Order: sequence, then structure tokens, then C-alpha cells
Amino acid sequence: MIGTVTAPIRLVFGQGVEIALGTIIVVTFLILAAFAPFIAPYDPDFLNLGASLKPPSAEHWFGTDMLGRDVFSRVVFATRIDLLMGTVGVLLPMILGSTAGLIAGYGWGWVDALIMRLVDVVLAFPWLILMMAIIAVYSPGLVSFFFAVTMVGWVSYARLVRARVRVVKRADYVKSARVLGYGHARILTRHILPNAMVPALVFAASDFVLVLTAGSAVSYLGMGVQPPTAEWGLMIAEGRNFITTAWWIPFFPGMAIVLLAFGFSLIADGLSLKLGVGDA
Amino acid sequence: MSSVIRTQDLCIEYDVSERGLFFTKRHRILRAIVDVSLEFRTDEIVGIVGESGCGKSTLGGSLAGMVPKATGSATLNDREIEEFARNDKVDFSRQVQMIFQHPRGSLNPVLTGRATLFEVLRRLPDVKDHAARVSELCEQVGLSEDLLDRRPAQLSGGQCQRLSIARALAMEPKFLICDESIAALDVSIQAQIINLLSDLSRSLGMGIIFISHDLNAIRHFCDRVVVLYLGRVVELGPTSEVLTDPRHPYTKALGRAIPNIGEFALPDPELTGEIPSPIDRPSGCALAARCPVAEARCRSAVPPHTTEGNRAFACIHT
Repeated sequence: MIGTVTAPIRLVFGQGVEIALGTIIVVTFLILAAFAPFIAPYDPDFLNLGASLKPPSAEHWFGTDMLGRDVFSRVVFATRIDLLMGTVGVLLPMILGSTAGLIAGYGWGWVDALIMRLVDVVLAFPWLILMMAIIAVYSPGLVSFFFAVTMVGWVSYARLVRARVRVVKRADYVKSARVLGYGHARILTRHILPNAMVPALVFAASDFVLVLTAGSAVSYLGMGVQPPTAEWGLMIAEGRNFITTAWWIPFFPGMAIVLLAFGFSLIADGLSLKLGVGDA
Repeated sequence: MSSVIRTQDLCIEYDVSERGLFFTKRHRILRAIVDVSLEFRTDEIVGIVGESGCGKSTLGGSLAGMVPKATGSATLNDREIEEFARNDKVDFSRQVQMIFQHPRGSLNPVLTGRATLFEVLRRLPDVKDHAARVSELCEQVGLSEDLLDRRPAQLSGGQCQRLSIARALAMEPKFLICDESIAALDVSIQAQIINLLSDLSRSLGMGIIFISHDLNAIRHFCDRVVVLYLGRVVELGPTSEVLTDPRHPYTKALGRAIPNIGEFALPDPELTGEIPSPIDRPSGCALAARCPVAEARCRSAVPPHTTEGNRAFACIHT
């Protein structure tokens, strides 16, 4: 679907432009996160009730919120927690899911059946509802969010990797590996996994977008990152009552989510083109 | 000591039972290889020929310890191959190696040529200088060493096949099983690979079992040929004799199927119809339904092998 957006870009700039553009966007956010204290003009949590709800100006580029905090500084500082949320929230499910998919796809009938029935159970629920249910059982916060996103997100990786493993394990180079006398562990990790991971890696880049928006959604609902921490989803939630009078409070964090998500989508799209998976 | 692979009444079966609704099951056994008794030595190149589905690859796979047998035996130096390959994986893989049909497909796409070879050498404790061994292998198979830093996708089919051969040679096998190993290559490259295999076999004292449907390649390359039809050996003997003077009607038909430039004579009776299913094997001679000289007694009993010097064939008409 992103393909329709990037097709004209590709026409103008040629192949590989998605990855380059996406990388520029993501690296920009990484720089923002790394150098937040130097880039942000104000303390993100500094209250200045006298200067609340100020529109964007030279002094406050993105305006101020209802408590007089500088929205630009908060958006910059929130990059840290949102990148962390996205990265950990993609890596944990990817590791768990890929391992499960690798084991399921390689053989041992009943293990495969067991794992795939677990996948079916998770898929039977709407994922956002399931995530919130899991968080609700524990306490709201980042750790619960990571736990929930792992419990829900691993199924996509498990299914992607399992499907590829079932193809790859019949490849001649895996047969060769068996004739060469390599052990199961060696065959799995060195000969099957690297060749079965490509679709999962491409998916991970777009999954980053899902996790980011899920994290923001969960924060928006008050079940993720807790105030007063600066987090994009939370800032949108806090600004929702002022949207008609102070549009800048939810707008800029929203734009940050869209831009970072777009960056990762570009990378995912470029990767899938380059590695030859999916349509495009 | 010279190594030898022997099979005695080897049978290989696949369970192709179909599961129906609920708990019904339709039991079906596919008999891919039936009563095959052969001997392979390290000083010869043996061709195994037959049409698709005749069990050539199954036989090759079983000699490489990849396909379990049903009954009979397949031994390497009097040790059961199946048990050998399972219990002494590394030792067995140093005796028997295999190369496959698709040169690029038999190389791990994420590994460079050098990594592919190192992957093999790291498991061989007696090879000390890996880099030197890699150079030696490259020279043996005629592969330029600068190509080793490329991945399979950046190599040509012929280069990939040379790399596959180098990988197999790294194990210093006594036997090399080539499963349709030239079928996917250009004709000019086919000739190069065949010459390479031929030279390697002589210089290293390595037996080659060459599975192919290409009689032309077998004619130029193999010392002996084994003709398989529906899992049974129908004829075997020295290549030149079998191909110039075929005794079994199936071998005759195979020989006529080779297109010859400048020769228009289309042959007397061709085989008609399809190869029968190995699931519901016909009684008697498997060729009977297609054979121009078949008669009633062909259909009642499986013809025994007639031995004539170093040749053998399974037909009652000769």
C-alpha cells in the first residue's frame, strides 16, 4: 500500500531511494533522541502556567500546552521513549516469534501443531483488545506494554518464519548441508534461519509502525507510559480537549508519529523491493 | 583399502496414505525402488539412467544416507549406510558426497563461496591450513579464487556447480553421487563439468555415481550404465555394449529416443503410453503394457535377471 505512495518518488529518484529517504528520516529522529537536551530549548517538564496555551511563535516553535510546557521540547524528548518503545516492542516479538516459527517449521509434528494452535488462539482475538486486557491484568506502564506486545506480536513472526522454513528446508542447499553431515543446530541457525528471516525482517520495519501506533494508542488510553513523561500518544491524549482552541498540542506529536512511521514504512518498502519479497 | 558400495535386494517405499474425513485412512504404499542389487567401486563411473519417476534420485538419496530403506540392504564397506549415516554423520559424509541438479539452489544464498568452503573445513580437524586447502580445491575444480568472495547469485551456473563440486571434494569422499548434476546447465558447460568430473574421478580415485536421463552424457562419460524402469534394474553393463547393443526393449527404446543430427530414420516400434504408477504396480514385467514384444507370460511373473558376462538384463525375450 505504501508502494503507491513511493512509486512516484521512485520514478523521480530511481531505485533504492526509499531506503535512503527512510534512513534519513529515522536517523534524524535518532539524532533528536540522542541530543535531546541540546536540541530542546526548554526542560520538557517545566511548568509555566503563566504561558499556557500559547500558539507557535519564535519563542515556542510548537507553542505551549495547557500547563505552559514547551511542546517542541516535549516532542523532542518523547523521541527517546517512542524509539525505545518501537525498538524493544519489535525486537522481543521478533525473537520469540522467529524462534517459535523456526522450531515449528523444521519438523516434529506435534510441536508444530502445538505452536500453531497457540498462534490461532492469539489470532482469534482483536490484537489491540488482547493487548489492553493483558496490560490491565498487570499494572499500566512500559514493562506491561512490552510484555503485552510480545505476547500478541510474536504470532506474525512465527507464521512468516514457519512458512519460509517449510520452503527453505527442502532446498538443495539444506539437503547438501545434511549430506555434508552438519548437525541440526548448525543447519537451523546457519543455513535455514538466515534464508527464512527475510520476510520477517521486512515485516519488522512495518511492524515498527504498528508497535509505535499501538504504544501511542495504549498511552492515549492511559494504560502505557504515565504522565508527566513526554510521549507522543500521551501528548495527543492530553491535548484532545483543546483541539479546537489549541490545535498545536496534539498536532505536532501526531506529525512526529506519522513522519517516523513513514520513515520505517519507506525502509520496509525498499527492503521488500530489494530483497524481492511481496508484490511491488 | 578400496571402498565399495553394495546394495542387495534393496527396496525403498514411501507411505503415501491419504487421510480421509474423521479417522479413515487409505493405506497406499509407493514402491520407489524394488529389489535393486548393485555394486559401485571407486575406480569407475557408473551412470544410472531412466525416465522421470523411475526412482533414480531415490536410489541416489539412499546411497547418500538420506532416504531410509524398507527392506534389503545398502552397505558401504559392509556397514549399513542408513545406520552409518545416522550414527557417524561426519565419518560417513567423508565417504559419500552428493551434488544436486540446480547449481545455484544447492548453495546457501547468504554465504560467499569462501564461507561455504570454510563451513565445510572447520569441521575437519586434520585440515590445518584452511586458506591453502581452499586454493587447492579451487585449482582442482578450475574456479578462479577471486570469485570466492561472491555470493551464489553473482556466479554463473557453471561456476556454482564448480563450487558445489569443490565443497563436496573438501570432504575427500570415496564416492560422489551426482543427481542430475548437469541437467540445468548450458550444453557447453555440461561438457566442461563432465570432463572435470571425469578427470577428478581418475586423479582422486573417487567413484562417481552419475544419475541422469541424458543418454548422450552417459555415453561419453560412464564406464558402466544401469537402466532403471519403475524402480527395477532392467539392464546393466558396460556403457558401450549396452548402448550399441541393447538387449532389453526399454533400453532399445531409450536409445532410439536420443535425437541424432543427420539421421532421420525414425525407428520401429516405439513405446506407447505412460509409465505405470509405482503405487499400483502392474504384476509381472512393469514394461509389459507398453512393450511391443510383450506376451501373456510377461504379465504373469516378474522376469528374472539374465547374466551374460558382465551384462545383465531382465527380459524373457532375449
